[in-house]
Amino acid sequence: MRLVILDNYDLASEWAAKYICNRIIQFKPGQDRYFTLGLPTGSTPLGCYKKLIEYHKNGHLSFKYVKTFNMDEYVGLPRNHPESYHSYMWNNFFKHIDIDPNNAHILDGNAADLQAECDAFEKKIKEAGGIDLFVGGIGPDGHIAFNEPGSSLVSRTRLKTLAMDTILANAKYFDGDLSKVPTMALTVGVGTVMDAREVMILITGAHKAFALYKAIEEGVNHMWTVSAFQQHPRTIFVCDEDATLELRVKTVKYFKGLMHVHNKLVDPLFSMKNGN
Amino acid sequence: EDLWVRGGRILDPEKLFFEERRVADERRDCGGRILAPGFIDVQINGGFGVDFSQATEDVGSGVALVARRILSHGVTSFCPTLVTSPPEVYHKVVPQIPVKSGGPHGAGVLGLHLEGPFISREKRGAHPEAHLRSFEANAFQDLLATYGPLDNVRIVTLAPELGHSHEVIRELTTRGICVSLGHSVADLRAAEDAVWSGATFITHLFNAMLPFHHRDPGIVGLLTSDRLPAGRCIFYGMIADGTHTNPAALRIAHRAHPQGLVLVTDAIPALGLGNGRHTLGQQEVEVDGLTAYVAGEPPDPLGPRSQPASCPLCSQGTKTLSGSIAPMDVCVRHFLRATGCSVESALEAASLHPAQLLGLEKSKGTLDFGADADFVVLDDSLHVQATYISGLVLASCGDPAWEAPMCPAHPISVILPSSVSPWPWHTPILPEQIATVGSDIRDWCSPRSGVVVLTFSPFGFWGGWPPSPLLMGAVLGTGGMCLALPLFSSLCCKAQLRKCLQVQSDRMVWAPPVGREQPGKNHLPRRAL
Repeated sequence: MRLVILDNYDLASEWAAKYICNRIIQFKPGQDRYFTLGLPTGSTPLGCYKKLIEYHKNGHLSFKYVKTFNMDEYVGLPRNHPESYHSYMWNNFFKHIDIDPNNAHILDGNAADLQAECDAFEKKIKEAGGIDLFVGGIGPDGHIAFNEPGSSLVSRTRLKTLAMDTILANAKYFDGDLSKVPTMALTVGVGTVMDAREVMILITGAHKAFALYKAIEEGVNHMWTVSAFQQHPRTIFVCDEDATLELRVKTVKYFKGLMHVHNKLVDPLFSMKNGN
Repeated sequence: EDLWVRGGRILDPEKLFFEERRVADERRDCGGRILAPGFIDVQINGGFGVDFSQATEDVGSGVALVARRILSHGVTSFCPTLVTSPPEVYHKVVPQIPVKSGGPHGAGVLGLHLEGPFISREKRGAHPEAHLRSFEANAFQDLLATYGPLDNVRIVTLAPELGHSHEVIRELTTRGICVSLGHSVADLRAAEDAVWSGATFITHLFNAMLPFHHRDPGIVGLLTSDRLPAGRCIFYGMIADGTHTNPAALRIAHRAHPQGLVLVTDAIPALGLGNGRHTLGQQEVEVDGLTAYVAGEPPDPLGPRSQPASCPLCSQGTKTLSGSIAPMDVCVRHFLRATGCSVESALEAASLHPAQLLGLEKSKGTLDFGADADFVVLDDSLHVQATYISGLVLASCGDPAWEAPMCPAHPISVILPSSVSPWPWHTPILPEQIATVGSDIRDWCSPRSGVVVLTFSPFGFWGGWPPSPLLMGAVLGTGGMCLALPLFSSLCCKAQLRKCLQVQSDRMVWAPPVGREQPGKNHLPRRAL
């Protein structure tokens, strides 16, 4: 894995956005060649989305030939509810860019047959040729997407009941009323994300530090599902200083020492403007 | 935030994206300007020479003309208002003004506003005394006999102290007609009872009603009354043209009850025309600058600018205000400046609140999804740049046909204080002097649409013709110091004034002094040079 450590949240978001930008442009997407991107929700990727929107507005990046697959969605929440992940993606990303609505895939938490919806989602990913880059976050309990502790490390897209920890953490978005927080969600499985050709996990903030420690310095463990990516050929963890607080000094120093190599991935920053 | 429009309605883009999987077919960049719901004027008596209260053969084309011309003021819907008139006029005119949606032909007609004749004699204002009426025993039938069928009527202004008014108010309310209290000497109790019967609006607050008194606030007290039906919001019209209401009074009303404030123009047929005499129903009115009075003797040449309406010295003309000629967007800007409220509040007072008054807030006065796409594009100082109805742009700045809303009907003269020296060389105007006089002008005259005219009484020396720089140069060459001094100081003044008022120099024109008017040379063109 690559562990990219930046000084603060903004720099970490910017690095991640630059990396995604470069990957898309280097891929040379076109009419018959779509770049498939997996996308997360939550507070961590907001800075990254803002930067991507900025690159788009400045003409450096176009999402015309990009397909996106979101990781998860609540069950039973109306699609236009301000806290649904459809609203999140619309307000924070889709409405500012030029993606074709037919290429933006999000699980439907209000489908009549939820398992069929999950299977259809897996099929769509397969038809799109698999995911080129899956961007994700990590929960304080080390989960990826809604794969709560105890999830199978080879799981596929399915319905999951949320852990109490997660419900409590989400309560702040629902006026602190626990009864309003959805208790179930559809989520991509750990196995689904492992199938991606490349995985990038964004981890920022001191409250995620312990989860990061468990994910990369301890063994692969289904209680900390992000640890599964130790067995993925191409994983990048992008974090800020605060997220490294629980790591060994040796680990941090080692990877910081590699920053000059990591930075070659984002510098030079490519642009679609130069007639790409 | 972008505004999405389809089929004349405002569209939810998120729904479009996820359900229909579509993107926009056309994009218009408004350059960061403000998009606001179109203004709604619920009290407008006419304009551009058209008087809604005149029983002409072709009332429809008059209404259509006004509907088209007020688009440039940002008004997308309005209630043509009829003042007190004899029954024949109502029977002729009312059926000819149906409710009509706005469109390429002009702003939408939401229904008529019938102001009078069931109003107080004492507070009739400019309404003709001869045609005032009161309710007889068969009150509502009496009203029907006066007005004729009420299908096109949206608002009725009446005085609640008239006998049998309550049954009339109840009848009108059950028919969905908004009842407004105005031109009345009702006390607070009578007004509250009228609200319980169904009244929801107050016609031009402060004007044509008893003044606020601390032991009996009268109709004004409705703004803070605790004896109103629960959950009912009382709306009140305010004419924010700077003349009808002192800005301090405007602020008091706004602070007491901001959610109920509805900006109205109460515009008269002289709106958009020059000074002079015009009609308003059965009455003649005199227009000078931005004020209109019931016609009497010719007004004092110094004009209402220097002598406010309540001035005891003003014996010429009358001091009875008679409607207003300030366009709606001028009222919005003046309201914003006078109250110091937020831009949103000022815009809501001209759009959302009138819509709420008429129960139309789902489709008008708002930019919510599903509402009619009637909106205006405004620059940061709230000047109208373009007006849209049902998503079609109907008037925009830069069009050859665009009528830049003129604040004064003609250029304003700055009258210097009489202490200015009569000598050929005059004291340069101090910046402080300019600021006090100039702020008046700034209130009413945007550099974009108005022309500032300087009148210097000392230039009587020049015999009344505007001195051109060329001529000045020629005279200077032959004249000498006594001519050079006025030239020099006047040029300085011009520069000072220009800087203070932020007017472009090509818009500053020398004119002969007041009192030495020359026939044919005083009425400068109405438009900016």
